[in-house]
Amino acid sequence: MKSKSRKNEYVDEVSDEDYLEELSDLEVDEESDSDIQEDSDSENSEEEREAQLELNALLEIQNSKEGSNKKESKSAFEKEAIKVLTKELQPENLDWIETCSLMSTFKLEINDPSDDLELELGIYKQVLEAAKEGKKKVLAAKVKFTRPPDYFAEMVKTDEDMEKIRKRLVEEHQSIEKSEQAKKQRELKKFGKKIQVEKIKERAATKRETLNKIDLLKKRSRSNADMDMSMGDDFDVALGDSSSAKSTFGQGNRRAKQKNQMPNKKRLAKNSKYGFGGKKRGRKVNSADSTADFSGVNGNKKSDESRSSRNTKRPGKKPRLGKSPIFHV
Amino acid sequence: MASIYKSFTKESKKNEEVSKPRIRNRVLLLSSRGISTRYRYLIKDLEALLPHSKKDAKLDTKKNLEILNELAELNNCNNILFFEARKHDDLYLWASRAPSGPSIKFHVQNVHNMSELKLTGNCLKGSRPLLSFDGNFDDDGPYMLIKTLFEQIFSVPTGARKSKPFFDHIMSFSIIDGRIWVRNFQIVEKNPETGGDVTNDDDMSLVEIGPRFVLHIIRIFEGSFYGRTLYENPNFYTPASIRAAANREKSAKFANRSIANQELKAKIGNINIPTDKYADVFK
Repeated sequence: MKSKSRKNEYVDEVSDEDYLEELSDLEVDEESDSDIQEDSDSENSEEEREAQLELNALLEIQNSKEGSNKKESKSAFEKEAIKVLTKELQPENLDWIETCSLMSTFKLEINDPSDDLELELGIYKQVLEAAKEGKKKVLAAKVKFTRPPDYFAEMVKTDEDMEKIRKRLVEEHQSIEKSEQAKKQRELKKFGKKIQVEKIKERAATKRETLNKIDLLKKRSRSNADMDMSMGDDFDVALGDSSSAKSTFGQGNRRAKQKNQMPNKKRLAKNSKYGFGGKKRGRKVNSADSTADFSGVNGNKKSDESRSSRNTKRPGKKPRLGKSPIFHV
Repeated sequence: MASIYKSFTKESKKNEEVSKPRIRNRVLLLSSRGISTRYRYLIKDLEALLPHSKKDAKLDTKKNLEILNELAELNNCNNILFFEARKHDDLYLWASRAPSGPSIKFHVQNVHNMSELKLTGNCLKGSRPLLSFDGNFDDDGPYMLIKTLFEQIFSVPTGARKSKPFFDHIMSFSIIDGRIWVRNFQIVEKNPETGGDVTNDDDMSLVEIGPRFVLHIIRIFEGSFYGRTLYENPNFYTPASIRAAANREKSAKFANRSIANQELKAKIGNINIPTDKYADVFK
């Protein structure tokens, strides 16, 4: 049933395409998974078409034969002879352990043989049941079943083969992971763009707001300057919001106070000391009067008396009594 | 005394063994000439799985198959698996009980070898397999006969020369869609996550080793490669006949199209368009 192009192309590792092609070959099922393959799409579709053709042909033959009933009459089936032969073949009183053959308890029924999943699942079920039953029976016959982990012997597939298989599994796993990650990244990108747009909008909104506020403040200050002359301070209270109104109110009040009050005493003293207003230049230059003036000098301060009377001892430890004769007074 | 005791006990054991019937099967594995690589590998895989088999050189003739019986006798074999290749693409399998029959002819389809990377299992070379048959084999028709024959061929006899003492794989035969699907699985008794041995039987799992193929029964003969037909599958059509029918269908497609074309032409020719009276009014 295979196409002639595939006659000589056997390789040790049969590729996926081959595997799938084979599947489509076998039951001549039109809808195998072969459309998963991207590389050889055209080739595959051709194969599929051929398979479909063959299936149709098979059905046609069957129909025509069934109609004429030619084959039915031809086909031989000698039940009795077969039964006898079966009995002859089977040695009597044979221990089970000699053949290790198990019959499954249920009859495998697959509705759609072209459905790979259903088919594999059915076979797996049958085999798993047999394996469990077989283990029990083998152990009951007092024969070892499980291979101990330290039993090494030649295997059906060599280590090299197994390494190849392992590599392929790893590659498959990696490719799946990669594609998944790419998918995630794509999604993130989509979502990220949304976030970015939103942020820009938000930034623009805040900027607009602050600009508005500044404009408002500017207007207000300008209007304040105008109002001061004519109307008074009560006007801008109505303009701003409550918090800002309070503050402006306070400011206006202080200003009014300042106008009414005299400068405080400290200020006056400092003014007299350092001067406030008037000519600054040449104030610190000595003159004849200033040289003759001794009013700022205290003559008693630096007298010897006063110096001697001062305590010359440095502050520090107090000497303990009877210990240091030097300090003993 | 001890030696006498030993000899006595040994004797008794031997007697027990003799009393039990055993099967001493050997299988002759060979193919005809003109076999493709894929099928050659299939035979190689079977040879690895059946330590009691003897592989022989390719058989030159496709006509006088009775010669195979003599060949089996020469090789001390009582079963024959003969792969017959035709037209490079079609593979037929003869499974036969050597000198006296019966023999069964199958069409082999959908062959996958053990070396395919999709099949990840592995087992000891020459370990004895469990054989699992689908419940559909339990009938009084040809399937029971097939089962008994396969039990002889595919089960490794106890104490075969190259066999190993443990069971780590299972061969399965299931009847689906009127065909026999053959699979070979490794029995894994280790926890896939921890790698430790499982104590519970429920944790047993299977990994496919290969090879896998599908057998479509054609005929059962009474003798080995001769004799009258005991059963003939009415649902079997040779791959060549199917190909021919497909080709016919293809050619029919072209013929239909050309006929349709001719008909269309004739139809167009037959139509006579009425002349327009007012065609030259505005000229």
